[in-house]
Amino acid sequence: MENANQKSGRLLSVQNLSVQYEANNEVVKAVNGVSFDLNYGEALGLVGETGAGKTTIAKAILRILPDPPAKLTGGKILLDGENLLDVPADKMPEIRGQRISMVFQDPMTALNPVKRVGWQIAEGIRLHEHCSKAEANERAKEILKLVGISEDRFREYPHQFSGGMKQRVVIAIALACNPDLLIADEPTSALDVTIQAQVLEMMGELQKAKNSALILITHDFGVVAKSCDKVGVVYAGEIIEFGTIRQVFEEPKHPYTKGLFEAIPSMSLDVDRLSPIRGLPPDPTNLPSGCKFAPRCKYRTERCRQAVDEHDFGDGHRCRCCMYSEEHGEGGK
Amino acid sequence: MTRYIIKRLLMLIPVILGVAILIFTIMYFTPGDPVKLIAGDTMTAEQHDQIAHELGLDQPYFTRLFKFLKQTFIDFDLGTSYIDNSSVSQQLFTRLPRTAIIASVCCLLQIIIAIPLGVTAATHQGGFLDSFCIVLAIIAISVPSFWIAMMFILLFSLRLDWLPSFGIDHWYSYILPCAANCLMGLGSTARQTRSQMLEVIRSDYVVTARAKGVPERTILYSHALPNALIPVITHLGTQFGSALGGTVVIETVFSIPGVGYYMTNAISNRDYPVVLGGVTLLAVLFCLVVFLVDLIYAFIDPRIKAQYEGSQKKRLKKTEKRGKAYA
Repeated sequence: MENANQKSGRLLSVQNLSVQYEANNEVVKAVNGVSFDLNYGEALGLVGETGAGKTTIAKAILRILPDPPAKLTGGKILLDGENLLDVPADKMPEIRGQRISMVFQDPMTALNPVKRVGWQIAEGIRLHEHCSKAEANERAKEILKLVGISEDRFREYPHQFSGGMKQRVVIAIALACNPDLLIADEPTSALDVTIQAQVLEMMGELQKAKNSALILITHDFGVVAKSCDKVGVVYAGEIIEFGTIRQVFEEPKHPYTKGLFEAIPSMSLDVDRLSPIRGLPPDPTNLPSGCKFAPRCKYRTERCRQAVDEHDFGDGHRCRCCMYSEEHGEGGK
Repeated sequence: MTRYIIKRLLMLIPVILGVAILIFTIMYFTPGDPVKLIAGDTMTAEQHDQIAHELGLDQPYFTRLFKFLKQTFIDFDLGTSYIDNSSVSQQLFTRLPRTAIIASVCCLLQIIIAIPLGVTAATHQGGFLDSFCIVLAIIAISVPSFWIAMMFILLFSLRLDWLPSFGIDHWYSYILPCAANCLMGLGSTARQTRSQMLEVIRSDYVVTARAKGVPERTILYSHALPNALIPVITHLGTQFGSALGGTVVIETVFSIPGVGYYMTNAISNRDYPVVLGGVTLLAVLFCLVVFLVDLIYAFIDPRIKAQYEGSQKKRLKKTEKRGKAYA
């Protein structure tokens, strides 16, 4: 593996990724043509509603989607230029945990109840670094300390840990082999707010220290603002807006993103009512043609029902909306 | 843990006593007269009374019950058979190993055949291998053991002349009885393993293991299987228990002088000491197996172990230790 300081440039490039679930003659289009790039040392936040396809994107990158029912129907996932979708299935375990690892949503069920915590951390190290058991255990103890757990709890079982501690262990497992890319799938949604802050801070520090990349999946804009460099807004399996935190937070372009920000209660303004986005996300078994957001959009035109354009605002800020196309009558707001 | 073991062993005492009292009562109320079966129909009323008096059969229920309990649990003497005056305990102990061998081999076969079969079926859910394993399991469960035993005899003993059709003179005499006896258990254990595995391989920690880069095989046998095993072990435990008393059919077909064979004969002959002694012995064995299964639980699942160890004292000790380590 390269030295941590030398890592730079493009780490991950997801191009036109599509995933669908096929079950009972129904096709659920979970991810539809998602593309984004991520460099070493960067943190990307994927924000979206429940069921928007965030977790599916993450699991597709690691190739741990349950197949059946999930099917990758197109696209490329380039890790340092190598397409992960071309890697034979029996070679994937060498990449998982070693180059890419994942922190799961629910710490209560993410740990094996019959294995010692230390064993679960050391297992990955043993597998990837091909070192002795004692060495792996030593490393595991260090990592355990790193996430703020005393090393004499090394031989305890998950049921002896609290929720926050379990999530730390899950993070320790993911970080055990210094992965280049860490995917955190709502790592804090099962924790209460104070612990949330601690866990996020810890993850951010470790990521910066190791110059690895982070994909943080959440539905909390506050979390994204605090810990990410870039943000992708996911809606109905598409990234409808993508850009740096500054770009997206200060000048949201997509009506959905704007709507989301309007729905956040403001600390400074005294507002009686929040303005929600009317309607519900579309049924993924029956997605509208054209713009997926059109049925809920206040700026929609006839054109939105047929097609959707991707508009680039420069510096990587892009948005999928017809509003910015030349043909659109009213133009952007 | 030691405390728990002792507690559990003490709890066995009322269970075994209860079984003994129950079986004694059932036998007491069962119609039929052992004296008639011993002496035949031609005896006089005086002869009948005399034999009954000798055997203590003319005494009231409670007297006989206490005599039986005292004899069994204090003197450790199971008495002698009404029919041939042989010592029951001696008979049981020469016969028990034969039954126990069949039961243990069946159990072992289930572990090494049925569990991998169930795991394979679960991992290929919906595929050809799955259907194949399920069909195999259903056939194994549905075929009566006496029939398969006779088919085995026809094929392997009479047609091919590979294995003996009766008796226990050689180690290979056990092959056919064990094979015939374990078939049903194989099927049910495989099905049980399959359904448990199906549940477990969908759980989050299996995905965690996969994301860690653990190879599929290791995931199955090291991460998933231990979690799926608890109900399977319960199943195996009861199967072993019932196999001890339930090899009757197989023992009859293969003419094996085991415990089951001995007891069925005794029941039809109203040979009370044999029935009571046999049932008590089996009850003790069954209790021990269940006890062992409980201990295996603790070995497999630390959460169960923690419950067993849940005494206040231990917890205090642990926190003390931890406190020191922090300091």
